[in-house]
Amino acid sequence: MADERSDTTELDFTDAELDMFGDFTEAVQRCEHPDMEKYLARCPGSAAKMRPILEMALLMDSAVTQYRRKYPHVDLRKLRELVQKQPGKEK
Amino acid sequence: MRDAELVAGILDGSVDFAVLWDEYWSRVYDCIRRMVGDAELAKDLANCVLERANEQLARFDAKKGSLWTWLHLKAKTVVIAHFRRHRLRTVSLEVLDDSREPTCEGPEQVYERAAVWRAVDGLPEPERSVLALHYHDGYSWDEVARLLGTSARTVRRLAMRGLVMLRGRL
Repeated sequence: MADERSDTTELDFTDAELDMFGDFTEAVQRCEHPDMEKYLARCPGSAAKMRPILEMALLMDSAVTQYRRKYPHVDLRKLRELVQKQPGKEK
Repeated sequence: MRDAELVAGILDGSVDFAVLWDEYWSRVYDCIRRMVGDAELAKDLANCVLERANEQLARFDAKKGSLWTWLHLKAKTVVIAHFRRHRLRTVSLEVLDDSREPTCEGPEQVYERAAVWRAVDGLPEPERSVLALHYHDGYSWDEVARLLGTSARTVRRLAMRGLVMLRGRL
C-alpha cells in the first residue's frame, strides 16, 4: 500500500487536466454522454496520460448505473456501510 | 432561446412554461431513468421535477449555472427524496424478486461481486471517500470539496489518483 501511495503521489496533474477531468466526469454524471475525444482534444499533449483515467471514470459510472438499474431503490451508501460491517470486513 | 431569456419570458408571462417543459422534459426523464432504472417511476419523477421548477423558477440564477444544471440538481434532489421515502418497502420487494432467481443473489451479494466496487473499498483515504461521495452518493466534485472542506481542484486531483490506483487493481 505504501508503495502504491508513493507511486500515485508522484503522479500530478496540470490545472488544464484537472479542469478537463472535472468537466468530463460531471457531464457524464448529468447524463450528457460526452464525447471523450473532444475533451481529450482540450489537452492534446496529455491524451495518453488522461485517456485511461477518463475510461476508468466511465467504467465507474457504468458500474453504478448498472447496479441502480438492477436495484433502483437501494441506497448505495447505506449498502456499502452494511457490507463493510459484515464479519471479517471490519477495517 | 437562451436560458435567461426563456426564464425571464416565463416569469413575465410572455412565454408559456410549456416551452421549457417541451425543451427539457426528455432530458430530465432520461437522466432520472438512468438513476432509477424504471420507466414509469422516471416519468412521475420527471413531471415532479418540472412542476417544482415551475414553482421555483424565480430562484433560477443564470449567473450560477445553466438551466440544465439547475434542473439536474432538482432531479437529483427529487430522486433522493423518493428513495428516502420508499426505501424500506421497495428494498424488501427487490429482495423478494431476487429470491425467485436461481442464484438467490441479493443486492449485498451483487455489491460484493462487483470487482470495481471492491477495489474502491480497498483504496486508501482520502481517495476512497472522494470517489465514493461522487459515484455512490452522486455529489458533484464541488459538493465533495465542500463536504471535505477542501478545494475542488484538490478533490479532482484525488479522484484522478484514485482512478489510476483502481486501474492498477482491476
